[in-house]
Amino acid sequence: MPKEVTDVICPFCGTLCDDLIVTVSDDNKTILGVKNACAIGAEKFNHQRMPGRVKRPRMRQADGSYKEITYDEAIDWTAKMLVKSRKTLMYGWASTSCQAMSIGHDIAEKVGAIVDNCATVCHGSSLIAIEDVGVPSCTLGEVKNRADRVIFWGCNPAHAHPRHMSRYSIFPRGFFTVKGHKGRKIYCVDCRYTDTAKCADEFIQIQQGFDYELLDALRTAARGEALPDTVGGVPKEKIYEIAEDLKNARFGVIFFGMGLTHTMGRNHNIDIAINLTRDLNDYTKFAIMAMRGHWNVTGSGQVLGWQYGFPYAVDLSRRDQARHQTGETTSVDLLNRNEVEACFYIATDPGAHFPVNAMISSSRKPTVTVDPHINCTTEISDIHIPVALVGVEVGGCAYRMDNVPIETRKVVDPPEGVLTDEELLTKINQRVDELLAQGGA
Amino acid sequence: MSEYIIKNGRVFDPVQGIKGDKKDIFVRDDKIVDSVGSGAKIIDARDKTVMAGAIEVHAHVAGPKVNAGRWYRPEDKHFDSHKTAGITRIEGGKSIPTVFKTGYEYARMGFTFAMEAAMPPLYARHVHEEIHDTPIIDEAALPVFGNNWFILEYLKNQEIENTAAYIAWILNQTKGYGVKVVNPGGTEAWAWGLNCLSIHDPVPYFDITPAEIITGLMAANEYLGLPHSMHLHQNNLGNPGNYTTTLESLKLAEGVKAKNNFGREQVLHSTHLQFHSYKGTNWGDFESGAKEVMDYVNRQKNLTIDTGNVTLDETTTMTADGPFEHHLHGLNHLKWFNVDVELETAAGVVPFIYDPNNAVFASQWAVGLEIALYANDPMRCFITTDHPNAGPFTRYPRVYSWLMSKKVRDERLNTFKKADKVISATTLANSTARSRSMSWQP
Ligand code: SF4
Ligand SMILES: [Zn+2]
Repeated sequence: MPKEVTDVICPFCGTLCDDLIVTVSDDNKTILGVKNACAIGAEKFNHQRMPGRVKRPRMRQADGSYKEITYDEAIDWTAKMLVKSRKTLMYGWASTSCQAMSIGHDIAEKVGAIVDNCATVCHGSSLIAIEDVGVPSCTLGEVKNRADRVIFWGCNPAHAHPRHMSRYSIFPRGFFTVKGHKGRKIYCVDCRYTDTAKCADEFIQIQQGFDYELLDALRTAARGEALPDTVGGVPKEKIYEIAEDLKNARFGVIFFGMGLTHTMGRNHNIDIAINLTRDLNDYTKFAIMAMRGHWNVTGSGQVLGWQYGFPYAVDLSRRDQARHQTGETTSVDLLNRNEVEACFYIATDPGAHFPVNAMISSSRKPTVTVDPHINCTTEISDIHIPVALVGVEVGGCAYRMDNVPIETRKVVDPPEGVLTDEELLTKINQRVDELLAQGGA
Repeated sequence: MSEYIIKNGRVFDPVQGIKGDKKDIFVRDDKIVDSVGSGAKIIDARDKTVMAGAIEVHAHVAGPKVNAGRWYRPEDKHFDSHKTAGITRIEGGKSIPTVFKTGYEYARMGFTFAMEAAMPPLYARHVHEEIHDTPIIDEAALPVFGNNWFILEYLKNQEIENTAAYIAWILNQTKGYGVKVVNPGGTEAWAWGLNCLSIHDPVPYFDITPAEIITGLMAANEYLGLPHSMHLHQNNLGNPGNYTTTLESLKLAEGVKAKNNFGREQVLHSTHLQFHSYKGTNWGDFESGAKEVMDYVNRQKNLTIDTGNVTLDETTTMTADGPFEHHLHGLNHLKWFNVDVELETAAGVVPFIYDPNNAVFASQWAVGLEIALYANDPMRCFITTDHPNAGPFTRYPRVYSWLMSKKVRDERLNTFKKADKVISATTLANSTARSRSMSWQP
């Protein structure tokens, strides 16, 4: 008899939906169905039974083909690579658990590596802005229960976080928001008419690259000062009207995404969006939140935070102190400058997201990729080590985009003999210890 | 079986009245015994103090707001980041040290335990993840209750039993160790951008006052007979004239009796009292209210307190008193971090520089010392810096020397740029006059 596992946590996006119901075969081996998840979340579970899944480590041969090797061989090779390299990039971490990260950091400290996560190509600019000016934020539960003004700026949850709007930001009824959608005014600011814009009460079409200017204009308008006739394609009357409406909110929130972090101005866009939010707190309650995308990237920032005091791009290569400087200790810059001697990728696919030149640099170095699936990065790696799917085949802690920690659930067994990230990293750590005790690789 | 002899150390045990005698201590399997076998491992403690592990009763050392402080202040690592020989992990940060540094630094000062003073229930797992990663010392955490929607509803209807049942459930779910209350009602009001500065201000929507929340939670705490009394961060923190709010809140404990069979007498712990003992109407005519507050505390045997000593450092303030941090940001304009959490709490973080050249900060330094010096019963008064709010815990040695030596204290006091102002706003300069208060000093 198939059985249903309830309250399952989705391991895909930063929304970390915690209400999934997964049907599992009697022998605990196969996922038969997923309820409540959006299409992309469900796909993550469906991958579990995909044919052709790699179940043992693979090593690339001189002719480019891959041959299967044992976990022990892969662990030994990886440990030797880490010990030999004077500076290794240990990048990824967003699809694994905080427990696994902790073991990874222990290794990184011993071998003098750089630990970086996908904030480096994503919300890193948001983190820089927060390091500069702080941030007034809240949990998603506060949005659900209190918010009556919601602004989506340069983000498109309809595609990137499909259930965000129904669970937290547009439709749900909460403790103080009994009218649900009717009690909220939704704004969408974007240069394109997106599917999120379709859900908004008001779509503000901004000229591409004018985010900073429009945010600045809103601050100016909120203070009742003079504006030019249009800013970023938006007429000043509209800007005054929005500013006034935001001041009249009971509880407002701005959600922002890559449209702010990766357009002209980058961290300065976030900086001024935070400052607008701060200004609005002189009139009412306002919060702002980054739409963190890749599942547990937030958790990586947290663990790095409590262990080293920086949220990403943590350089441990000096062995006696941790350093963090955007442009200096960030993955893409390190690769572009050819500054690392080896690459260790885990639970994220830089091959799909890094600039081409960075990946060309990476492909010339000894590289190990740890990932349940074949992806762009595994194909330029010397070794691909498959592991269990975190949140599907093994539990562990992950952090939602609002930094709320959630313990994920195991719903099926991993394929016979496949290690989890934690098991694999523990073995690599042990092998590193042995090699260091012997005086190196 | 493992056996040790801790040899040649200077032993302190206030309970047995041992004050620095040279003694050997024998240990078998984690217990002190009269003698051990000849194979016992010898630890040479010559020129060292041997004492029971010190206990930190109130510090912010693990959890979401502490970690926000860490990662949004990369500059804090510039003050200190290093690795010590023989120590396995890199230590970083000054006012908000990493978990590794937190464990090592407490251990170096003879501490074996620290209580994390404010755990948001929703973020309990984060607190425990940090506790797990903190080396050497033990840590526990107090979940916050003073702004919880369920608690506010129960107390509005005067349902003490339901309040107690709910507290029991939360303590179990979050693995918490007691009832912490931060700015009761005020933090919930902050979710709408408001605050409760007096204990009679109504909490928006919930139709209850801070006074009723404090009284009700004390009753529920005693209903359960918990190991610790309710732990209160009062309303109106950090404002001139707030000592009246403080006295009013403390008076709520009058006549309340502890119910337990293990000898706890206090029903209310009032935390970082320094921040709550100010007279005056503004920062210009600000004066110490430590004497008034401590005279009351000395008379009321069912109260305990901790000091919250200002150490005059650059530090990072952080509290579940969200509206206070917003207010502080308005004063110093340094970067403001805030997170509102559904059901209970809103935490704020703001860096802060307690410049000794500033008369107010130097007076706060004096108020904190006065609180401890006025205490008649040292067993009801704990030294804290409300780490990192009034200063980092690593400054304890300085705080102790200011408290133990009038000479050291006066040296600091008289070299303040605005010493005259500090001396006239506080009573610290004539502290020898209060021999009664200082009877426990060497
Ligand atoms: S919104 Fe995100 S977390 Fe929720 S089901 Fe979809 S992919 Fe999963
Ligand atoms: Zn505190």
